[in-house]
Amino acid sequence: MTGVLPDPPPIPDPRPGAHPAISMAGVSKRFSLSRRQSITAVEDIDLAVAHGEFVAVIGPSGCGKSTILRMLAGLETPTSGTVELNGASPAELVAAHRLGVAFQEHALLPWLSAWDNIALPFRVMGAKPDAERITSLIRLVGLSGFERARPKQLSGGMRQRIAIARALALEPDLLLLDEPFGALDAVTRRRMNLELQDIWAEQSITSVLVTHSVDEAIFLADRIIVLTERPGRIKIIEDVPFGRPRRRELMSAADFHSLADELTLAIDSGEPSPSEAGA
Amino acid sequence: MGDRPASERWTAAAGGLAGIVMVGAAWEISGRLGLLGNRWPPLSDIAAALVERRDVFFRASTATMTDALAGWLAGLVIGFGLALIGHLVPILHRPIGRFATIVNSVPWVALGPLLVVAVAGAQRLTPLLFATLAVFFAGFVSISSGLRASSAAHNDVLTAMGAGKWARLRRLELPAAVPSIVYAAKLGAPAAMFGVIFGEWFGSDPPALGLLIVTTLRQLQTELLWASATLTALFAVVAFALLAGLERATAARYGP
Repeated sequence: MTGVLPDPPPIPDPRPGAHPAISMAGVSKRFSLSRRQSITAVEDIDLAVAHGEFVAVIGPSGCGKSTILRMLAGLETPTSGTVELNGASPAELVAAHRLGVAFQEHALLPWLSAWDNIALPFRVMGAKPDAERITSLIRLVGLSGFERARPKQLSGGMRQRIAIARALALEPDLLLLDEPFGALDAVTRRRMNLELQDIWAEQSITSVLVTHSVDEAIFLADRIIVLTERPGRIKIIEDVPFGRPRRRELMSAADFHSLADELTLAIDSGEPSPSEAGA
Repeated sequence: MGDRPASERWTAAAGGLAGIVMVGAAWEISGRLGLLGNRWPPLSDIAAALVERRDVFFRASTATMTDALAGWLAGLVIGFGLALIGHLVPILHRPIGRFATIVNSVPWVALGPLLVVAVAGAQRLTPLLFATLAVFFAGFVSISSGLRASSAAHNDVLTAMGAGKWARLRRLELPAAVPSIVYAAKLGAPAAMFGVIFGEWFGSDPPALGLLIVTTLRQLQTELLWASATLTALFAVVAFALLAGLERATAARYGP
């Protein structure tokens, strides 16, 4: 940090010669609002994520969490800096159909059944849907018997499960989750967290989760990135010390709560700049 | 919408029927009493004329409906085709829109005789051409916006899936445009009838409903004139109602 030369990427990849699953270097994103006005959503993000790692991004509202995710998905391009996924650009990973995304808006196609929505990634790729894979995903997200139901006929939780199954359909190299449970009630949300943790324990896909919920981040992630208020910069990177698989009881454990308190405080308090040192 | 209880639907249907019966009764009585002058025959006289000259009306209706159907289809296909080209080739979007607007704003009264004089054999095609003309523009406008109706969230998901132009068109944009296509078809049904009837004023062989309207008007055959006009309106209303039903069904499936 205090050296003259910039630091090397902080996380060395365990496999020699391999690229990290995600590497963001000096990434900033500015949106222009009008001819003269622009806002900086995120600034100077350096981040490396290892293969098979689950990273959660938390921070105050409007800190640019979703912008980071959208840049990883190739939906936005950084104003400066570079984003690489497994050594290539997001566009290349997307073109190879190796990315899975699930957003807060489930974005299921209303005219397709649950089964056909999960089959969509196959069809977009121009491949025949793998019926066995789709059936097993439907079982995995606990929706057996609802294959023919349309999104409109299902509850919010069921729709999100289909959206997650759709994101997993092609066994992606990278899974991006933007507040996937944000629109759900607290009880359903907790149940979905447990389910996602089980699913993830089985598949160990490199994942990035953007969330408002500190508990959700701790329960699911290996590492938590806390962003500052806008423009979002990385404030803290916290390793989650709990082993896997994680059980429901973990959410009641004392060290779970103390970590949650610590992170909540970190989100809440302003930038620890010299002028605000006493805050 | 579609899931109103059955009892409520029956009540609505009964209400509609009662309305039609009342209008019919008012028509019959005012016609019998000559309240609206002697050019306003009672409904029963019109029905009698329809039955009496059923062979004429049957031939005329067949000719009119054939042209209306063909023109309706042609107008929808042309409107859809123009919308699709404008959608897939964005630089053509504006020129196509301008072209369609110009074609749509040519005065028909000028166009009809021009067609008959200029194009050999055009008389046979005039009704069909006007039906096409009446349908294509609304179809083009409606379907153009339908192809852009897919939500930002859906487009993001397709982009992240690595969808190319064709996959996006086939999997997202076309299905999302289905309601607008059905809407265009619904609006087009009465428009096609109007176009055909107008086109038939310039002559038709065999005598179709539009020609019957003109000739019976000239010959002051009031009952036959009313019968032709009523039949025309009936066809337009029935086609519109059928397509409105289809619209409700597709809205239930393709709507949000």
